[in-house]
Amino acid sequence: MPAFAFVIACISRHFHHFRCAAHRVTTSTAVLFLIYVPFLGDTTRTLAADVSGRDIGEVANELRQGNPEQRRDAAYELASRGAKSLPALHALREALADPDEQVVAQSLLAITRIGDQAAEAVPDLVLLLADDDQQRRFRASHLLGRIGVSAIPALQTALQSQHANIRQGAAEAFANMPSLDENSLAILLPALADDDPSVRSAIAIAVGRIGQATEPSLLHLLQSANETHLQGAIAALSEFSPQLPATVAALVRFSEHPVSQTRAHAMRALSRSGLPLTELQPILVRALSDPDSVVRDAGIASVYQLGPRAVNSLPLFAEMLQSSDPIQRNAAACAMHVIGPMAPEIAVPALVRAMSVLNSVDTHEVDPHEYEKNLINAIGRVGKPAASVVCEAARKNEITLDQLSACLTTLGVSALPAIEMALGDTNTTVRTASIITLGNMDGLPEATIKRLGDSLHDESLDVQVAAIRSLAAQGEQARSQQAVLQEILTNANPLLRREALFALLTVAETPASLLPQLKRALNDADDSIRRRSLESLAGISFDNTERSNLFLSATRDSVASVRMTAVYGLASCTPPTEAMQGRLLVLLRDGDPTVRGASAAAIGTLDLEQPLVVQALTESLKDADPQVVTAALTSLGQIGAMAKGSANQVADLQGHSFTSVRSAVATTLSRMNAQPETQIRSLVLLLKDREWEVRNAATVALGKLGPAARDAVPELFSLLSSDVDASAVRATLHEIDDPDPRTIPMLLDGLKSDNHRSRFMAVVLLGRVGPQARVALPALKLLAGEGKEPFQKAVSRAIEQIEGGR
Amino acid sequence: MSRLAISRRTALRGLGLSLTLPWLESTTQANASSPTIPVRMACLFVPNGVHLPDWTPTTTGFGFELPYSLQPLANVRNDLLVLSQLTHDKGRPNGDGPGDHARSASVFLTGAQPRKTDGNAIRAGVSVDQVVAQAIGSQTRFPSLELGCEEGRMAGDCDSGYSCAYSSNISWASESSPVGKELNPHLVFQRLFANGTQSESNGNFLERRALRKSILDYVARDTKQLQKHLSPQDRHKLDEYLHGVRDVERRLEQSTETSLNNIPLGVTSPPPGIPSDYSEHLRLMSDMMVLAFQTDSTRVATFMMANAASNRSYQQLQIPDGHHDLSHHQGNAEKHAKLRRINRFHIEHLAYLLEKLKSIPEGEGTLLDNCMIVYGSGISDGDLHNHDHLPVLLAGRGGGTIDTGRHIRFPEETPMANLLLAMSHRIGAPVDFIGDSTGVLPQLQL
Repeated sequence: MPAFAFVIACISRHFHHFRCAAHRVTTSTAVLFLIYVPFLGDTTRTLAADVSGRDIGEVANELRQGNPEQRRDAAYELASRGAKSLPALHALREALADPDEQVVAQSLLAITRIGDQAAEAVPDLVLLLADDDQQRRFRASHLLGRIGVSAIPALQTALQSQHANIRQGAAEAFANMPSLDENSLAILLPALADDDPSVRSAIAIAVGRIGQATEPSLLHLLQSANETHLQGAIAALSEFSPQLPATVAALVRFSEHPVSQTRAHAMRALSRSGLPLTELQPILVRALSDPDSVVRDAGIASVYQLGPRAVNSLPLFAEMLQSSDPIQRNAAACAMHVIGPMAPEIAVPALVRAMSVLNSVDTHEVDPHEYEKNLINAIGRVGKPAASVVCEAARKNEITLDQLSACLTTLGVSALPAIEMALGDTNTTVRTASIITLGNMDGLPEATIKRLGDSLHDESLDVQVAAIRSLAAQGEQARSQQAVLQEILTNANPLLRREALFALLTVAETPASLLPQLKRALNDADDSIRRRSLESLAGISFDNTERSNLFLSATRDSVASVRMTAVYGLASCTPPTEAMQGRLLVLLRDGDPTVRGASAAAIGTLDLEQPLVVQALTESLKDADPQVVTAALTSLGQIGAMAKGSANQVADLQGHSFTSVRSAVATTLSRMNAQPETQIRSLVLLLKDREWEVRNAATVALGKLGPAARDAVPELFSLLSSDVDASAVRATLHEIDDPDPRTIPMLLDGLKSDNHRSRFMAVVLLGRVGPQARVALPALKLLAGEGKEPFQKAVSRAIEQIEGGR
Repeated sequence: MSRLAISRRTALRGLGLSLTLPWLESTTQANASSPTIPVRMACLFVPNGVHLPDWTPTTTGFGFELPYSLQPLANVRNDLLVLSQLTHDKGRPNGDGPGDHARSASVFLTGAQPRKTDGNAIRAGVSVDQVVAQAIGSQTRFPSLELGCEEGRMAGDCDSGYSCAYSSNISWASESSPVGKELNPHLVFQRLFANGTQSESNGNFLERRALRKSILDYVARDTKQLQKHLSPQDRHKLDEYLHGVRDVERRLEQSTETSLNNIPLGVTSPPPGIPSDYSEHLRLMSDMMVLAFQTDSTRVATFMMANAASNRSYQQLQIPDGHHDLSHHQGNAEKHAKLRRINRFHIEHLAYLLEKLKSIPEGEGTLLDNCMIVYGSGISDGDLHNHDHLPVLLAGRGGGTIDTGRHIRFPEETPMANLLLAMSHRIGAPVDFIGDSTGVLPQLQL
């Protein structure tokens, strides 16, 4: 039964609503209309309610005879009606040959939803199995499967086709057929030996779906000398649970077959068979140790399939973790992850042991990081019981700090009591790891935060640093420890001072509350502390003169990164002081390019005295560093028209080797309002750039010139054929809107282009030229009936403009 | 300790407020031997495709390596599936020419070919989240939750003749009715916890703002009462949940202040409450989703991390170029390098969401175990504009119905709609098909 949803529509742009079955709440002051919209109970009935009353025959007629849009709508409607569209099946079949792709696609969907009653469509669908379009082949194959038994005779013929596509499609259809029984075996079994592996694979699925009844026939095939037949039979057996002793015995043999795919299929089949676990285990171990990942994968999938029985294999996997073979160890870790929380008393010590020997193993074939991750994840799946074991291992130096921390983090909140207890451990590694782990957790109780604060007084530097970082991770929740952190700012150890400052910036109520500390930190011996302080001060609002003086002073720092940060800080000081201007201009000649670049960028954002600044920035255009040049260009653009005296120097950079520079040239010329001739000359050259970014910037810049850029039309027009440039070029051509009559020959050529965009734009531009384009009328009139409606309209309009004047 | 009959719908209440509870072991239902944990579903969309060589693992099955873009998912690697070679055929032009971005968004959860129009005659299909909301939405306070980070438009031409409605929405209540997404995390928060009459709820909101109080202050009495009846483990869970609510509340306050402080002179301000920091916006919306799922306020959510063809720059990554512009990479290595960093950035935020879900114990496992979170794009390569080999991830075990930790490579042309159908079946909406689906991806379970 269809259910309904109330949809709120609003005439205002700024409307946000939250759908709720019982309440409708808006934040808009606009007028609200409640629109009752039929809503789906299932997707088949979308349009049934929308267009109820439309006779199927009428829709079918439209599908046959309508224009493309009508035919599409008709096909869509029939698809929406599901099985009720059966009376239109004939029309749908015809529509499979429609020239419109969407009509075909929707018709296929419609026939699919008719389902097994669409048997009369089988011949058409079999034809589609040979279609060039992969999607159509896919859909036809699926649909043939849905039609089911009535399609079998045609599919049987198709399975013998010379064309691989047709055989593949037929095989897929069988694989999708829900109602196969052993009567189809005579057709399917020979196809298990098809040359094409995808055919064999699909047929194996189809045979497997029939199930137990096929086992005797498949067992017979296992004795075949034909290798492909054999592989197909084993693949089919892996799709269900083989039970015959002879089958199982054969599969055991094939689990050591030279072909990896055969071994993999055999493994899967055996995991579903009734083979006792004691006999299955050695095969499983062999699969998990296989050099081929396909077989190992089958082994792990088998562990999944064993379900609770898999726990009995844990001792085996634990032993595998000690193997000298890295592949076997990694596979065992994956298998133990699958087993999860079962038997932690066996699993966890084994996993911990494996971690402890990690560094000494040969890692030639398996990435050690991946293996370690697998071990840690397996521990995580065990859960709470693992916490105390891993802590003990760390105490004995069997695992590292990082490993312990990663294990505890993976265990998560379930291990919180054990982690909190570990805060007081006698072992430094354990204390540190537990602190790190707590730092990764959200919502710590205040008592735990306090214990982290106590750890700031630990004798171990590692513990202190970890505690600071963990408090930082807690952010405002750790505010109770702010005073303790502030004390550390005067510690002799620069590492501690640095960490404490970083932590305070997240813990404090606002950075502004740390103003005194930040100012003091500007004199710290450690440059990273000075830099961080400057960054923070740039975001704080206080007396502008004091601010700018602090930053100015820092621009004399001996470390380039500190000077650069100070420059960015200056950019935040408004209004700028006189001293700032002078200093920034000096910094344009700094020895470090990052400082020069920062200065060039900062100058553009500040309202400084123009002539001096423009001169200095223009000089910077000769800088050896492209980032500096780009920043100078950007700043000149920001200054705008007052910098247009430097247009020639800017234009000279159009051949620069760096993309960002050439791109900035285009943008800057436009923003500085340079003489149109200067701009157009450069921009037209940039339209030919190899980089899209540059061409795009030039295209956009030309658009801003408007009609003045008419001389660029030929170059822009030729760029229309480029997919990535087309939309920007179209927009710019519309902005220019004034093509020169000299472009007529080019536009006439454009009418003959293979590229639809170029033809369309040629029509539009010829119309805009107006009566002077009279010579184009014959060609335009020839085009009048061609193409889709928008194109036809454009042609008519152009003819009107040429004949009647613009 | 006496066992209070706490139902799933028990809430902590204050005037104009209601905080539903997370899943607690102490929760009982009358005449039920054990409560069933519901499955939740979320669909996350990113635009412009990905750089596939840094996305697709080289091996299939278990034990696959995480390529560069997916490395932030290391901690949840075994809780997800990488799904390769899914296709949205109805995102292809199929005769309609350009407009791949608009199609990519509208087809993402519908599997239906959108009608090419920039006018009113829009037509897509019903999206899977709305199909599910229709089936099970009455069991929760809200049938569904639609979130986003970029404002869109419902009219006008946004992509080569396609209406902006297509580019700005992935959720469709009917073939012609997109469901607008909420951008403002404040409003989402308010909706999650508001209760009573409009005036009570608004009054509470204003009072809290004026007095700088938390919603937890208003439910303190109920909280204390409840805690007396909970096991130690549940008390801890409740504490964590309330801390989570408070953390989100604080970050909302901070994001509003930061937004207002960071607006340069002369620049139009963003609507109040929308964080100016994109990362924080993503995280806040993720947190809302987690809270909504944790409290069973809804079981269905969608999240458009950016609109189709978004040209946002990523200054936080020092990438000033527009995302869409970069996606037209033309094989340029510099652009590829930036694209993979953007892809990874989005994945970091997915990891944030998934790790949050994983950190919440629920039943025998975690909240993530009871979720299905699909993440992806309706376009594969942004330069080719192809809609096959889509980049898709599925995280969560769907209540035990999905075997995770694998990379599955499907046969060519396998419809992505099959994944949507499979999800709908697992969450209690067993419809016959969604869009152009042909099946339910049996490979999801071994």
